[in-house]
Amino acid sequence: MKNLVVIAFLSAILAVCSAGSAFPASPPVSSLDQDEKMLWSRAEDEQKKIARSGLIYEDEKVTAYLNSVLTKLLPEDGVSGIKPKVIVLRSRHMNAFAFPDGTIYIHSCMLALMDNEAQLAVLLGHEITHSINRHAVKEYRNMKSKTSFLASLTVVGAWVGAGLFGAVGTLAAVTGYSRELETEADMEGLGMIVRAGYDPRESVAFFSLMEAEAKEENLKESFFFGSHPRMQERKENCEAFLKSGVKNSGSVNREVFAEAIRDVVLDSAWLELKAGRFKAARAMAEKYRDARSADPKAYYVLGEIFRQRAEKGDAETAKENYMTAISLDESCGEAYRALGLMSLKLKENENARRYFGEYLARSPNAKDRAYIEQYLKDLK
Amino acid sequence: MKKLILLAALISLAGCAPQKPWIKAEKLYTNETQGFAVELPDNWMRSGKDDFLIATRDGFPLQTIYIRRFDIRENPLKNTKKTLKRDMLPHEVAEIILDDIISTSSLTDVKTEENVPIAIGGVPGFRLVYTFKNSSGLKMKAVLCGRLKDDWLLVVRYSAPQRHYFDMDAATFEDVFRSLKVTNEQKQ
Repeated sequence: MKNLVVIAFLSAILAVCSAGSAFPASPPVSSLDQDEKMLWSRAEDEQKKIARSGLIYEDEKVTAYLNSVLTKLLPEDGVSGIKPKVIVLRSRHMNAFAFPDGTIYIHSCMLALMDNEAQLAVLLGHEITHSINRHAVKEYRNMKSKTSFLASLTVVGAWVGAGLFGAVGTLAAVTGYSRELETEADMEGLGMIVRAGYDPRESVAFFSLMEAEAKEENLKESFFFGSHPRMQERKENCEAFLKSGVKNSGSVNREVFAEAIRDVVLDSAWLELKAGRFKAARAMAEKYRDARSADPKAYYVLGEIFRQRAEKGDAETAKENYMTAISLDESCGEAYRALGLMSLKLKENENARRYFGEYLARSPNAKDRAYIEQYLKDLK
Repeated sequence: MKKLILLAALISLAGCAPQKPWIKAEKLYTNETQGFAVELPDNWMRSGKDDFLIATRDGFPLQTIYIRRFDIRENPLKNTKKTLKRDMLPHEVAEIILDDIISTSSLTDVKTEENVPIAIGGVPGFRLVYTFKNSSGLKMKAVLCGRLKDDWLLVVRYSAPQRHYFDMDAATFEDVFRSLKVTNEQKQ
């Protein structure tokens, strides 16, 4: 049965790929049925709540870049009935979801984990298909008990998303759609990326990244895949698509992507570090360092990762990174602070005094000044 | 079959019954299990739990004072994978606790207003002041004072909605905090 569904989608997509765009048009809001209007209204309320949450990653350049990639996937004259756009949420959880109006939310750490623009396009193509094909209302209409369906979604959303997600957001972000609708989103999304000239092989690479991340977090499936076809099935969908006669090549845009999201990667390294996920934090920090090898911030965050992990040999590695940060930017006060803390714990009092002095000279308004002054007093 | 269902329902309902209700807070509250004593304000209520103190005047969401000692060997931080170690400086403990707060998925927009050293019962500790949005999107403010001695982390926290309520009882909290005495340093 599943194979039949995949074959049906592949046939339709191949026809579209060869004949040009054929996006189904969503009806204008004014002509929506009552139940769909209700879902849109709830979605609008939920989006207002997200906007007030403080979770939105505010960076005009990043947002503009992501929207430019989304635009490449859509027909030049747009998609009627919805207003596609991308918003980044500052979160370390691997997730992305779309609301019925075409707004796609992507979590910053998921974005940072990706390797290139083609992988981003895979995700955006999948998500925008949910909006274009009106999956929310289709899912809603398939439910036997609509009231309890919405109530249970809200409870689940409150649990996993700080109460941020109401029923519509939870459907999109947490529980996911039916397998048929998810497969449809996979297949039509892949069709979009091929039409836009991206390499569809990156879809398998993207799902492999997500799979590795879920294993690392010890999740059965990350939220992005929760109740979706299991990752293996989705990879199989992609592989079937790749074998269906589509061109197995295209652009990847690795450098453009790395440059555009570099600050998201650095921010994600800090988020992962705060969560104590040292391996993920290190991977992000090294990714940032590889893209910005002359940026002292790369070495400072690496120093912090090793200092705080504090495994055998980490102290030396941390120190090397702090020293590199200082050699790149003599005003990098935070690196002196960290060296001071390390020296203090090793009872290298002379060094501790010197480093703390350097720190306070460079950061006179440091938030932790009171601690440092206390340490200096104790060292006398 | 119906009898079995009824029995199961009764058992599950029994599990919902409150174990100990809120009670009127006494002037001097002593917690032998936790090894601390504190003076509580008039007209406040406290929970009857033995393993921590939680007190409020108008209700749990409106203002809360929470005092608890944690055994760091039991890894009390649930939102960060970082662990507390007994040789950590107060500075480091404060930063890890902040990391745990920031990594809590039910809290958003966490901002630190203050992080300074203090002493609690003669032991070096820390005082954090921070704001956040709770799971309902309400902006909250909290003061969290703590200290790590051997394997025991002592936490004293006051939290309330930032608008109106926080300021209303901030001075009350300071009085409570000043009255805190650790009665058993070697709590086991």
